[in-house]
Amino acid sequence: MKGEAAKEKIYGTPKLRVPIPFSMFCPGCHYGIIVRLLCEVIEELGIEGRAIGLAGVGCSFGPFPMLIDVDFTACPHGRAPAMATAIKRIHPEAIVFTVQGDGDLGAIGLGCFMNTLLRGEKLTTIFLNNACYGTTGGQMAPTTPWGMRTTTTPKGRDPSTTGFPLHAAELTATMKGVAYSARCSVHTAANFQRAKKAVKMAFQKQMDGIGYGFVEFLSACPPNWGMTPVDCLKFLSERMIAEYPLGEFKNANAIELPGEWM
Amino acid sequence: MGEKVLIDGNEAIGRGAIQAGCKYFFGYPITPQNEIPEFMSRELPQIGGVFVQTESETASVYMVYGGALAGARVMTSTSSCGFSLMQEGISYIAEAEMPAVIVNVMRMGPGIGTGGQHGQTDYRQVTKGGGHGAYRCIVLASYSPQECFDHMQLAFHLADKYRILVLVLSDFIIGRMAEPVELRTLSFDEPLPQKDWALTGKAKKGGMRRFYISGLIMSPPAYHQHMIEKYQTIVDSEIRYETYRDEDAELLLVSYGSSAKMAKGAVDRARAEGAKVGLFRPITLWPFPEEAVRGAAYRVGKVLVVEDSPGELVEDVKFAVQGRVPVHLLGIWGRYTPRGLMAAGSGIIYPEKILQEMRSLL
Amino acid sequence: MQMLSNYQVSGCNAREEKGMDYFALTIAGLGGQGALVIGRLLAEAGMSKYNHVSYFPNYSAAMRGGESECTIILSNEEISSPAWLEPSSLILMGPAPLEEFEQRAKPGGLVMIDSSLVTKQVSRKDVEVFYIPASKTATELGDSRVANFVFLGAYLKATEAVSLELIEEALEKRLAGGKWDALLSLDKRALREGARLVERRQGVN
Repeated sequence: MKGEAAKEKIYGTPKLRVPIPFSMFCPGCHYGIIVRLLCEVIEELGIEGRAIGLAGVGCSFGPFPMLIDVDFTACPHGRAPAMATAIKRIHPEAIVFTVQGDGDLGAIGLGCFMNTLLRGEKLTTIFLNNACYGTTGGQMAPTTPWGMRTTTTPKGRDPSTTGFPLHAAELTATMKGVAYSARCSVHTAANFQRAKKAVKMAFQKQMDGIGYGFVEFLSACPPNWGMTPVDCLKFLSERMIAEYPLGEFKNANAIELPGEWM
Repeated sequence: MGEKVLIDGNEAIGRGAIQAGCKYFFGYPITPQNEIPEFMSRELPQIGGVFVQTESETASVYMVYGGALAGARVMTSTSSCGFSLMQEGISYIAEAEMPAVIVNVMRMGPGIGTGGQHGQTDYRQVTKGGGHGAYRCIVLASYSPQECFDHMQLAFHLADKYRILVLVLSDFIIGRMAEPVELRTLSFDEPLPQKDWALTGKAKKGGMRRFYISGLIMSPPAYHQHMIEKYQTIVDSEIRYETYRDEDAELLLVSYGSSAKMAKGAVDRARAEGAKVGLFRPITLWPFPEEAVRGAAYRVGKVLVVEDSPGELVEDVKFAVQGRVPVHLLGIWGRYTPRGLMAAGSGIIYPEKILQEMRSLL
Repeated sequence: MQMLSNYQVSGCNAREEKGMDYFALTIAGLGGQGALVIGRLLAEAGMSKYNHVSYFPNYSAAMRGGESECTIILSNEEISSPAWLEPSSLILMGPAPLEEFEQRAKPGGLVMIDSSLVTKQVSRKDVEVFYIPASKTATELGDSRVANFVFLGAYLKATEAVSLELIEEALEKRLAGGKWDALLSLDKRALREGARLVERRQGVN
């Protein structure tokens, strides 16, 4: 009709986001944003036909497989990297990624994860660090910062009895078979864009057959942190980032193999 | 007739798996099954397959789970304690109805320190399930290298046919003993269902995606009803056993695995002496040939179970005969025990001992 | 725990005594002596003469030092059990307690021991005993490690279970490639020397 500006859709729900009309996450949780980010990245890389996702146990368990429209399985606690290894070895052309929380990857599955890195698998891992066990009621996780109260550290995490927080992105970067390791957050729009770039890079390393790609996300957990969503953003940007600095820890274009090995 | 080669039970497992089209093996070293991963690490890369040495049996079983989800014929092998470590993964594989094969080359339990010995102490664990969730696995008990070779083919077939985890049970003696094995291809005259449920990426499935959430069952009663029916179908059609010289027997031996080998030797020698004895050998430990054992036991009237264990198979036999026939047991106390802590020759219930026990019962 | 005497069984397999188409041999030694090597070789060679063979090794989990033994059965009829407590022939390669070991010999059976390691005499009167100075002979040939082949040669001369040529053939197949030529020739000499030791004894008898 004359005089009326033509409407162009420039923003909307990603094609790969399964149209379930609710987020499946608690108010103020960042996981819904990360689901969207993953949908966008997989779409933009054009790998939805060969992407296979594996979620760990925790708040990623049901929602990620349900919400992202690619082949997906949720795995028993901590074992996603082992299952992903088999899938990738059997279908080398597939783009295989795991989505694991801090209890899943950092506690019960740390051995499994580290050994997967040691084997130099060509996989991608999205590590969700919300500083606690979200699903089971906010108990201490390997990533709980010092002094933070959880349901199993009622007086705050005390390093003298509970040790020190796990810095997964830095640890991962030290491993020879890893091509990319970064820590991101989605608590601001600018950080969302940076995180998207990092995840794309982590997938690209697998697509190019270079090595393991790892992205850690700092993520808020309002019910278990006992804060409003807005206070969570403040806590994340002040306390969490102080403990867990954002940035790239490794970005390798090639992983050098020993020249003569036989 | 296929080529005959002198190979031990462990190599027969590896060769049988490859014969069955298994190209993916994930395993962790443990005595007495190390010859299986060693064989696979040599052979699989040559046929475009994959061998992964894992960091633990936990990783092995989950790689098998992942591999089965990916739609391939996959396997691992282990021995008793390693099999214990796999129980959680086995529960999930069973619950997700993923077709896969796990080989348990049994050794003496309970400890690591008893691991250098023969033993049949995993019967309950493999037949009743060591994990959670009231699942069942088909259990094929091999008693010779030839049977190891054949059972691997049968195992992969049954796994795909029913979407079920199949356990192949071998032991120290079978794993190590060598005999000429005919490398034959078994043909199963029935079509197998398509694996259209596999995670291969959407593009290979016409854009249709599949997703699984381990352990998430919307209606447990409906799920278990489905499983009950599936297990019943297997009970109705897959029971396997062997009877040996039991036609006119006055004493029936019941034995499986390597003990059945020794028992067969004892039966032959007893028959040569004129004693009327026969052998019943369950081949599927689950489904257990309950009716067949009952029928044979009622006909013969007296049963002697032989197993290198404190007594596990004997429970199923007693259950089958329902108290109407005496059931005796020659268990772990029947082993030959020479002096010397590490003496070879220990840990075996020799045929002579079985013969002696039979004489006392006839 | 069962006493060994419980295992005394009178019944003998008729086949073993009449036709020479059934042989059951147990070779016992310490890990590293090569009892299993010659056992497996005998089974491999036996495949071309007998309808059925079986080879059953029994050893502890560690790679070295424990006692190890194997049982080889060669037969024209199907083999029911791959192991017997009382096989028709026993070779004791190592210094294991003789009193215990000799009780496993079947009446009318054959026992071979290394007279350069075990100075005691076999007390059983119902078995044929061969005192073979296997270690000494092997050392004289140049390597004490071929004592196992001295024993194998002696056993084959005494029983004619398979010919020395069949063993040599199996050995050549296994050590093909030229790399093992020195070892192959030493093994063969030990095999022949073992046979000669029995031949000499048979000559005296």
